[in-house]
Amino acid sequence: MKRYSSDWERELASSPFDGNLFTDKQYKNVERRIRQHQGKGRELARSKRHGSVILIPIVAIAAVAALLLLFQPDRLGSLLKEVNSWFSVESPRQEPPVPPEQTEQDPVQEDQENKGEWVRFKGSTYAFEDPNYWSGGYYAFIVNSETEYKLLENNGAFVKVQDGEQTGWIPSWYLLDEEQEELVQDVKPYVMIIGKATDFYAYPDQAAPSGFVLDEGKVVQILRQYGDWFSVDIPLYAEPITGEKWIHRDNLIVYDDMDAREGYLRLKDGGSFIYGDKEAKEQRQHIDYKMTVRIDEAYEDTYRITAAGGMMGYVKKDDFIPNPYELTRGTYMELTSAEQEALDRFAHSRDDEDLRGLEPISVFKIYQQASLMGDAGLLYDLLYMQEGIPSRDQFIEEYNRTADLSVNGEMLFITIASQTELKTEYSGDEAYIQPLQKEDGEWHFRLLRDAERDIWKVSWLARQ
Amino acid sequence: MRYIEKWDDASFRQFVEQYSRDVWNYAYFMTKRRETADDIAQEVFIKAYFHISQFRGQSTMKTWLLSMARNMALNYFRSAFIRKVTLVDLFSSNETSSSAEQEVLDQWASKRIWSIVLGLPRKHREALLLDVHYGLSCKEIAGMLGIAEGTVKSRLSRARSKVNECLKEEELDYETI
Repeated sequence: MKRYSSDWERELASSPFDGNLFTDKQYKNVERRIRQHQGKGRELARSKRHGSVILIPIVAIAAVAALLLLFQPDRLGSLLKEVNSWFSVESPRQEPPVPPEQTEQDPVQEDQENKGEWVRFKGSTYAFEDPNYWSGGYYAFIVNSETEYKLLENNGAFVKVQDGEQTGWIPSWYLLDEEQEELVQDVKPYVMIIGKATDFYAYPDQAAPSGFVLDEGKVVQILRQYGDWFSVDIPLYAEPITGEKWIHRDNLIVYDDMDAREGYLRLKDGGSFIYGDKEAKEQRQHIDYKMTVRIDEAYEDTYRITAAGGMMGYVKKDDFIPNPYELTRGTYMELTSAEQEALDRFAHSRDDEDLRGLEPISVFKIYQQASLMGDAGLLYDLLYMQEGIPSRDQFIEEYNRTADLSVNGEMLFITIASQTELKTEYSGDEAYIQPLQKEDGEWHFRLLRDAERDIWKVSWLARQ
Repeated sequence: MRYIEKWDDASFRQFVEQYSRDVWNYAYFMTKRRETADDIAQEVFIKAYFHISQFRGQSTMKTWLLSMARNMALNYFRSAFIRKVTLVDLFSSNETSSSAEQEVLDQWASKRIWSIVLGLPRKHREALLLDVHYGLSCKEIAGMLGIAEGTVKSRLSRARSKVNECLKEEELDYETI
């Protein structure tokens, strides 16, 4: 029997609607569509039977070919070996990761035909000194999708290419097929969180993961994207360092301080201490530099943490700042103390007078700060009231409904803006915030001025 | 336990009658659009019809159906998000289906607590409703949402705090037991 801790929970246990809104009409729709599917299924089965008629001569030809091979036993031997290799698949997850020669498909003989060709890649990635995902972090150079590289070797799992005087190995997956259109996209870095523990992969759709387990709560920085796969940077402690780390989007959740189990120790007011006990009585080390830590266990007032090099200890909860990438963000979006004061005042009063005298860039930064705070009401109140704007309730509901999904886009935009030097261009009572070196197709952000009161506010659909 | 391999008409109808309210409501809680909830609920039962033999009891039937509804709702969001670029599309589609929405909105608008809960961000809203409305355990919620149990607990705690804050702000007289 479910126990409720409050009256409102008890009220939520019953349906908000009178009756069942899944009507008989809908049930009939379901029945109709099932019958349609079944009809298609029967058609498919018939076409498969036609297909089997076509297959018969193919099988016969294959049988004749097999008989012919009997007269060439040396070819038969290599063929059987190849066929055997198709079926002798070992479970890759039972063993620790090993170089790809042992976990991937059997190495193909050096591809003499391809040797000396020029090849391109799907996107930027590391070229390593050895054909090994566990190369200890040493890479020779980075390839990109714009350049052609001379192919030196192809062992099936990896290709060896030359860039000037240097040579390096890259997973064959990165080779760009002539018909391939999708490229790996570099993105401005932003953070997400591992929602469900997962091994990482050396490239998207790798048959078995080549990496170690990333636990839930780990903060990752997205660097590249390919379909539903993300290449990430991760904080490392005592794990072996590897090359690319690809994770499927199903294992990622949008960043939230509450979910982050990685961060760094407070630097303000002289820094923090690592303690030797969970009551935080025995000070062991004073930390006054940015040190990334991972929460292993939570106690009443402290966390047991692991830090770089595998060092373990206890820290006070108040000293833990979530998100190890926080300090690596750009500074162009940081609020000045005057802007922060204006934001605090306006958030309290919602009176446009508190925005009077602020430059467009300041209103822009305040608006982005409200976006980071996820405060839909504040965002709405910063808008310039004009025709076509939805009602406040409509805006807030829509914002909350899509918050999880739009945060990504918003976070990406804010991250990009925070790492970009900005300029303001004016056109009468309109102002456009945009990158200092604006290129064609790049964004701008529009603000409008209430000329009578000299107050800048954000235009509806400001970001273009 | 014996698992269903194939449906007959009567048992499928009974099955839909048993779960359709939960599934439709969940689709609505996720999307807050009546037409979308209609589509999702129908898709769930079509999928269940063809894939029932794959249900092996690792979860309850209700959790299995809700998981399908959730995946479809997320796919809907993704495609809507890709379409969106700006908020124009979603707002305009709100206007076109206003009468259908209003019918539903009228029902829960009078129940203030539902307005508050449905106004929560989705990840808090769904954790709270799976716990309180659907009576799922933390472990079941974690499995369904693909997150750790600890994360479920923190989301529940956050959701409850937000609801209490809203109630307090509105000075509604809900007494905590």
